[in-house]
Amino acid sequence: MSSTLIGVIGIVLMVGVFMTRMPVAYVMATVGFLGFTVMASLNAGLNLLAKDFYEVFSSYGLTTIPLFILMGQLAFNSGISSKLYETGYKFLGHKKGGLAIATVSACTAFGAVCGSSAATAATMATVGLPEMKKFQYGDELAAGSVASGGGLGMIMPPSVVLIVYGILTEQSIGKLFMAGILPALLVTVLFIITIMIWCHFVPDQGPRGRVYSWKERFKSLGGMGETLIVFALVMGGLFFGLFTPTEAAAVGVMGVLGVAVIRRQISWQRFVDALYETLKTSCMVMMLVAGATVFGKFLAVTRIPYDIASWIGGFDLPPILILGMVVFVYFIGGCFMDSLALVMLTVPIFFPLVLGLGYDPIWFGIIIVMVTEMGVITPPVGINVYVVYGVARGLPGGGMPLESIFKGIAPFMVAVLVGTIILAIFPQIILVLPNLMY
Amino acid sequence: MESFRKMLSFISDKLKVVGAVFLFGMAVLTCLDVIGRLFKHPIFGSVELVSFMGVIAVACSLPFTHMEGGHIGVELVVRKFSRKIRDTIKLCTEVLSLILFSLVTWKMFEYCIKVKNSGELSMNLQLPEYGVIFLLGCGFVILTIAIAYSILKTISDLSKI
Repeated sequence: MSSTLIGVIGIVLMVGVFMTRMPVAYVMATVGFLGFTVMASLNAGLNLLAKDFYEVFSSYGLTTIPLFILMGQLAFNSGISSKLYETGYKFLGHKKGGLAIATVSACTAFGAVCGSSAATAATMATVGLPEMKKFQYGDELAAGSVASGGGLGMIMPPSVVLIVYGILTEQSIGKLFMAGILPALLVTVLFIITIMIWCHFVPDQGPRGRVYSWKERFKSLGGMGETLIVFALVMGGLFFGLFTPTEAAAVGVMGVLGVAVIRRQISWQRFVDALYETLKTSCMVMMLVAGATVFGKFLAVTRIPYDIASWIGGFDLPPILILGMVVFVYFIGGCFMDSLALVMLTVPIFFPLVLGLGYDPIWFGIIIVMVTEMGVITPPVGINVYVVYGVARGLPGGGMPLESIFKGIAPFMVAVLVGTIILAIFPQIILVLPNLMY
Repeated sequence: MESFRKMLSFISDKLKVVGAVFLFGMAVLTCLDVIGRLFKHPIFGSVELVSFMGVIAVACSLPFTHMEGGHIGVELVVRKFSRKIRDTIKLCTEVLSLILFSLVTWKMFEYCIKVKNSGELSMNLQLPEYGVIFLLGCGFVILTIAIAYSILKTISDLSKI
């Protein structure tokens, strides 16, 4: 049997076992181990298991993950999100669809301290949905803005997906973070335009809220100060090469914790909850990375990624068309799989291909995040949709049907798609900040 | 079965606390190193210590992440089946997981002995790295036991259908 055939069988077997709901990390490790055993020997496969797990868990580069997750969890548990929302609300709430615009803006700001899309959606749903319900916003706009806005948490640095992409492809995490800032702002603007157009044609979806005086508005800006300072410290340190990503994350953790303690916004219990939740998420991510590493080693010995790259290259298609096909695979995959698992699974396969086409690896990382961002809101898996659905169910006034949430997401999907096309046409938007770095 | 569950929860809860201490320790130590560097007194070997703390934090969180269903999986197909088929599939995947992590645990201890016998020490602080590998192996032991408990529970659920 040829090594390529073994590789293909491995991939098919893995996708089949995925469907059993066995944890993705366990599946990748199992199939990777079995494949490596077939390709090399049982002893080599067994040694690979222990060594890869230890090497992943003890990698200093990967310590960035738990620390950035902790930073986001502390921000989540200390109510920083409410302050951000309040500022947006006071400035924009009186406009048509203003509360939804405030929600999306607050999502971007919260994404600056939180690296997870689901955590951003959960936070903003808790803060934003009751307000939008109070002002009789349509379920579609309310849920759509929160679920889609949550995805901004993944593009706006720090981002767990970008960290993992950086580690898998040996790219600078600092540069990837810098590269994510302008695209996140671009998507925010596109979301705001979407909301404005939507409310222009269907005003019932986003009625006007209360008008606040300018004095009250400017006073609320104080609530944003600490987030800006922490974000500036973390990103500034990375930008000027003062910190490694791990150090930036640790400084961010202490910054958010310091702000929360000084403002008396976090109790001991919530601090402990943040630590436990971080442990759980980090363990999940580290196991995924370990599983993907074992599977990646198997793929590497089968030479499948290189075979695919040369096979597709042989068609002599224009690079943009091949890229379009890769993006399409991500989009379809994102409908069925968690974004992080998808990135881990596909990056080892597609990365050599994209590099071979002459695309910038940093630029490709952001494009992947943009596309998988669509994945977190598309049916049937769309994790953010279920997060918003779950939060809405627990709110006074009852929940909202899943169909309304999916309907509400459609216009935002178009906005992300437009954003991705803009970034594909103008790669400078992504590359300008990382190119300015030290 | 009940006493097994209680014992497992007790161990998993205690490990969670230890994991949380090491997690926060990573943040504190890294920050102290950054501050120390500002005053030209960085903490020697902090990178090694943070890496080791990271291993211990993950090792401690392995059992409870599994027990609380913290790992992501694709539910799309399975949820369409009847409970009996769902539980049967679950049993099969749990047995597969048990085999995988029994092997990982076994090889982890073997790797630990290999590193110990080679006399390998960490680069800066000269710490015995095999100690950390041993702790990770212990984490995998508890995870394997937790998976074994899940298997017993699934069998008991299946027998009730």
